[in-house]
Amino acid sequence: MRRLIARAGLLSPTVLWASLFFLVPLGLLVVYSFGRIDPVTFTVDLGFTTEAYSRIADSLYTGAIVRSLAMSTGATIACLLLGFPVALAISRQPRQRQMLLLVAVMVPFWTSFVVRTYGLVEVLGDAGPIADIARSLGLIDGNLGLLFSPAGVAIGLVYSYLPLMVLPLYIALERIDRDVLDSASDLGAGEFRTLRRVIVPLAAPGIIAGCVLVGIPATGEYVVPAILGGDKTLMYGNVVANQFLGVGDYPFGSALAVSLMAAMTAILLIFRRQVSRSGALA
Amino acid sequence: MTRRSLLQRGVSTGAVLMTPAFLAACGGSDEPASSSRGSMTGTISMMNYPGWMGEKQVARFEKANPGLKVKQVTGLTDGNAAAAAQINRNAGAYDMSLANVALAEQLEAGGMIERVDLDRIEGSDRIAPKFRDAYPYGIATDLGKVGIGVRTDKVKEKIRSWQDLWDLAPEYSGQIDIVKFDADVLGMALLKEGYSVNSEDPEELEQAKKALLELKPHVRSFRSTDIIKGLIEGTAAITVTYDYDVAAAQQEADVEWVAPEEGLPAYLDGWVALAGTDKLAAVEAFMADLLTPRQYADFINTLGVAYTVPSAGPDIDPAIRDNPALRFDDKTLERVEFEGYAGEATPLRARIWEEVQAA
Repeated sequence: MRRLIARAGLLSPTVLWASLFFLVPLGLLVVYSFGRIDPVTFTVDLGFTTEAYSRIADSLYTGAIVRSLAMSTGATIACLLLGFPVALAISRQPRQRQMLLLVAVMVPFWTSFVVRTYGLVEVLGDAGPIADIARSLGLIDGNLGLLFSPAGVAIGLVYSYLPLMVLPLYIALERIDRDVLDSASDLGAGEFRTLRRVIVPLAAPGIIAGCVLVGIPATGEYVVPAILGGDKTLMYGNVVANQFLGVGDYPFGSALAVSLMAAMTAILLIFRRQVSRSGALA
Repeated sequence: MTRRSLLQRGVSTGAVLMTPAFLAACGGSDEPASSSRGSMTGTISMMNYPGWMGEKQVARFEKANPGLKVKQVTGLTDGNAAAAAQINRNAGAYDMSLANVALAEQLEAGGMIERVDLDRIEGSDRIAPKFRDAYPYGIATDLGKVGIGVRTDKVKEKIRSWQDLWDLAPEYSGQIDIVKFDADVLGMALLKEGYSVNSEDPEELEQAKKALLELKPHVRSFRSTDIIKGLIEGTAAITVTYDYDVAAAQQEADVEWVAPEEGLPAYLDGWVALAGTDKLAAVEAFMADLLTPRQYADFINTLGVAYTVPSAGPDIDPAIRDNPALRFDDKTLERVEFEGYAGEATPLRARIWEEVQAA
């Protein structure tokens, strides 16, 4: 009994914190999404109406969802392709060097996300180093056109979220028993075959975790498209922000946010079920 | 404020300030420190855009009014809807706010403004009539006109109108930056089509949308920050932005300010008292203080923006006063149209902006 009380005491600050600053705002969002707003006084009438949800079916907003999902999927795949060799290489290093390399992966997180994104503006810009090199090689004559384009947004997403892919991949790869790899080698498997048939399946939990960590925030991303896309591409995050900040339509903004959360949760559950069936998480 | 503290301010400003109206506003000899117009002691809480104040303005006001402090709360950075919601949800917490015409109209419609008595605010009659008429909610402080900045070494043609911008866009495709505020972007398109920047007519807005869709393929970016960077470094040939941005770019590169013939969308900023304040007299005193020549010059010279008090000219930094983009020019001001609150057309206008972004 005493142990139970002690456990409850230890847990209560976390539970209180999560309830107050996560569950309550989330609940408010759900409640608002079924309400109506007075556009002048911003008083929300909390009566039950699904009006806000019915507006999401508009092709303007479904288009933004599709665009965001496509961009997020592309960024996740790119992060996986770039992050996997990095994580594999780190996991093969001596322990001390592993720590050093992991710190190097984490370095970008020491500065603000917004500052890092503005840093990319300098790199991708028409007067930046990439444009200068391209000009000096005679590859382009005028502007590079990388900044303020969908390609710029994609580069920004990959740059921003790559560490979130590398870390879970590293953990999964580092846990693979060396004896298993030696056995594969002894049985005649080449490096590529070992990678495909042994390492990748064993790293599946890390791959899944990395995809979730990158894919979900990238879908609702607001800062990167706004800064690197020159606001020429309507992403889902921008629509939500515009409804809250520009129009003041809280119910519709809430409905958009809740719908995205519901969709992402559903995708996650389906994904998890499929993975469980295939035994990757076993 | 007491008569004693007023006298301590010295002869130079005293001559201007020692009028019955100002004393009444300050709760001087005519009124007790606390009256029906509110207290003249305590802290004035002001919602303000970050740094939108003269460098020494608040310190001077507080020194001259020992019983008063000014606390500036950062707001207004996320758009008018967010600002109005913040004020509404914290009713009574703020005594006053910086507000452009659109926000002031929205606050007024929602009963969130406490109208000040301009007769009690010494110096309010020095604000140019155009601005006083457009801003009856408080005192009009500054404005930002949307025009065109042109790199003269890159653009050989003469641009005089919004129509010229549209006509030349294919030639300068990918070298055009536009400030990212839907009211400004829609405003320039509406003016180009011959309509009011505040149009709520769906057909007129549809025409403006078509015009923007025609222009968009040639636009490099819609930006709210670093908008003049392209003009300065030469990666943009044409930039649609505020007068003060162009004035700043002119310090670094050969940039011409164009005030389009069809008209210029503009925001007009001002200070309003908010409903529920118990310091209306103090707010009025702070407004009157801003309009004193030294304080107003500090405000404009710190911010580097166009001004609403033409008689302040001699105290304004010549770099602002004589700049073609910022100077007080009646001919240009005749063509300026202030952006207002769109009311029920707000969602439609927002949707059009989203459609332009999505295209």
